Amino acid sequence: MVAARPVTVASLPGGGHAGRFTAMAAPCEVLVDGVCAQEVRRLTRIVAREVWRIERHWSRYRDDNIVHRINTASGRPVTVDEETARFLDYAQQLYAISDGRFDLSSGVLRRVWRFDGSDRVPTAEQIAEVLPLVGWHRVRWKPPVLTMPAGMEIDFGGIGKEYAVDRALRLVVQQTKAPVLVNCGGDLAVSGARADGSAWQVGVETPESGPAPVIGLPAGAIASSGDTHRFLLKDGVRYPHVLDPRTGQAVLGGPRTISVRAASCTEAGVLATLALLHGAQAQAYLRDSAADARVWW
Amino acid sequence: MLRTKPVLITAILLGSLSLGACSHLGAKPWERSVLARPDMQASADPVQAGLDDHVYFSKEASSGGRGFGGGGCGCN
Amino acid sequence: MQLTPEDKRRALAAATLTLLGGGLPSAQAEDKTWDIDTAVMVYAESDNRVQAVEPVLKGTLNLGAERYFTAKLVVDTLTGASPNGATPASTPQTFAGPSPYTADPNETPLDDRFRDTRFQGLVDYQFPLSDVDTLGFGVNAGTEYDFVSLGGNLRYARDLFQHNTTLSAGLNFESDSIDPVGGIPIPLAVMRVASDSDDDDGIDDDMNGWRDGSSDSKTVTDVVLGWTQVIDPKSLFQMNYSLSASSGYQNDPYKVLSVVGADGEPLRYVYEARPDSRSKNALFMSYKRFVFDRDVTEISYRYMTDDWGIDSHTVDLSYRWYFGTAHYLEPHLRWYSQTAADFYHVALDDGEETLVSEASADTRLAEFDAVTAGIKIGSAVPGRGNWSLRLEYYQQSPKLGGVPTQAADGLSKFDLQPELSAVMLTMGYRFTW
Repeated sequence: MVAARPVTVASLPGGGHAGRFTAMAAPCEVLVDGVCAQEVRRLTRIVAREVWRIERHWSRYRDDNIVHRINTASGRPVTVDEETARFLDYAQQLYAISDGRFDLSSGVLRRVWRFDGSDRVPTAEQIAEVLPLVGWHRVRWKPPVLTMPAGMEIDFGGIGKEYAVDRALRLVVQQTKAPVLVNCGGDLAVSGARADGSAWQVGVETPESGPAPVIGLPAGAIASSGDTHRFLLKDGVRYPHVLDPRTGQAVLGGPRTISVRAASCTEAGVLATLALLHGAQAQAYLRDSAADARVWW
Repeated sequence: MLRTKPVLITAILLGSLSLGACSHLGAKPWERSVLARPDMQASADPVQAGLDDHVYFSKEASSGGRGFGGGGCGCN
Repeated sequence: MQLTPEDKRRALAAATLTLLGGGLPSAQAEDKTWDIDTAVMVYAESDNRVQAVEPVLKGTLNLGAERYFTAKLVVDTLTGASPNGATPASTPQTFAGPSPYTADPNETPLDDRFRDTRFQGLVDYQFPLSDVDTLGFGVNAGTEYDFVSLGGNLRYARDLFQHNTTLSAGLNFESDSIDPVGGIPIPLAVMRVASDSDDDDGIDDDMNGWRDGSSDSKTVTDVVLGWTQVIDPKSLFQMNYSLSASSGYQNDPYKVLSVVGADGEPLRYVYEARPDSRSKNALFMSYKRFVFDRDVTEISYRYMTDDWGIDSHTVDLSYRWYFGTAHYLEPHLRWYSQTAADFYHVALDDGEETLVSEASADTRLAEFDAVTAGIKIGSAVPGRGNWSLRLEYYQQSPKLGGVPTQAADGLSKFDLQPELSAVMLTMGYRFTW
């Protein structure tokens, strides 16, 4: 198969090169310390192929993958592949750990919540209509067989990108000794410190104007969560793009952006997401979870 | 778990990444949920379209347009 | 079980390690699924004309990785009567043949020997060459009592600009052979009358119109160039240009023209004669849009022109209104208008059959307008079986043309081109298996 989407390599003003590609609707980049442009291209291709593979495998926008089969099984059991099975195991554990806040089946809420900048907040009746189709407790997951009530859907979009960053980084460190950073739309992970032993310096885009605050990252990963661009505004109340799958309601009064540092991009992403779902208690949740985080209100 | 992401920039770039191109025609990959609907496909009901093509091929002098020009049947 | 936040964080870290520590990506082993699409159409024309029942079964096997195998079977059972091309007369008219039939005075003569079952099948395979290229090919075969058709097609499509533009090209080739009852009539030859000797040995003793036992054939080549463009996240535009070139036997072996005297009464009947080639050009455009965050509407237009002198315009409008969460009601309107073929004649003047090289009285080649109005109701639940029921009314309004000059007065007492109307009822059911 020829990869049709391009991988480009750009020279950086400060020296060095960045490999770039687009995946999961986000700009992605690969930074490698101290190697030539050709090597950056080779490593970026490895990263891009893996991220694209996961995108194909779990995208909601395709009709030829496992997610489509699960979402169109209308109550019939579906046998899933090993990778999806691992992800469903993970989702099941997270559902328990998060008291139901982390729920792969919450995407159905999109049918009533349309974050188009308008004031069309769904009514309680509209939410009540779709709520029976949300809830991991309604799903039977007996690996490798998933049985979901008809009409329910799952969506890996909440955490798939962070997972792809972690997986791609794992693949690429098998191919090079040089320090690598993999960034997909702001969720990023590094293989370790830079060649000179210093930390990677990462800028975070926040709701505030002015220069982006910089976070140092010697190892591990950063993921961010926020609703900077998508919300509804009704009667002066801001309904962010953060929905509690247990109630179907938007979580009000939460922070605008949360950036979390953790060992892996996936873990950081989960912490940031769960913190947002705690709304006004986001900071307390992060503190209790001993999360290394920055919060912007 | 519905959320959007702020964009991070790597500070060593001494500037932001150039993100995407301006778009005027088309849809971005994340804007395709409507276009992915079965009823938004160019040929949403091919079997019914085939039946229609057959009727109109039998009664009119024109055929095809949406795809190949029907036919494969005698005149009646 | 009550976990402290620290416990939860540890559980999260452990679970994440397990998730990421899994084996390297393995090849997907996706189940193969069939998308089964079935329909039955009942078609009935007014005044005991053609009736048809047409069931369709189509299955598409998803082989994963965007590879699709499709098989389709169509059966079409026809009964009823069809105009044979002759004009009405003041006295009963009898038409000879293996089973003679008679038309009452002032009635459009109908050939009521229509009983045919048509079978049509196709298989098709489509697969990606890359992330943006798709190739497909298929073969199809059709058979009727007196007609066999074999065809094959090849299609290529390429996506550009992040799948927002699709350019496609298709080539279709079809070879038909026709073997009518009693053989192929000689074009413009006089049809024998009922009193002619007919000793049932299949030999046309007096050679008036039948080339014994012969069959004939034609080939059709279609080229379609397509362009599909995503306009914005809620609408798309499609444009196709098609060229269809047909050569060989184009006549309807059962259709005749009346040769009429100045009084408009028939003197004799001659078999129709069409050119032995036809080339059609068509431009098709459609625009489809998702409206009110709920409904789907589509408008399409087709212009066709051919070298027989026929130009046609077709406008098609549909609006799918979703009521409730999973059901829709879809009104549909279609307008059609065509000009007559250069060689279309309602009838011929006495002797005119020796002056023209081509002539046909087939109503399909006349000038007419047609309207279809219909309503469809159906269900649309992703992943469920979906049913639909559609009722449509079709009406053709002919415009009188091709009247022989000397007999114009004499013919004016007859209704030369009665309106045709038909009702179509289609039931569909589509499911994944």
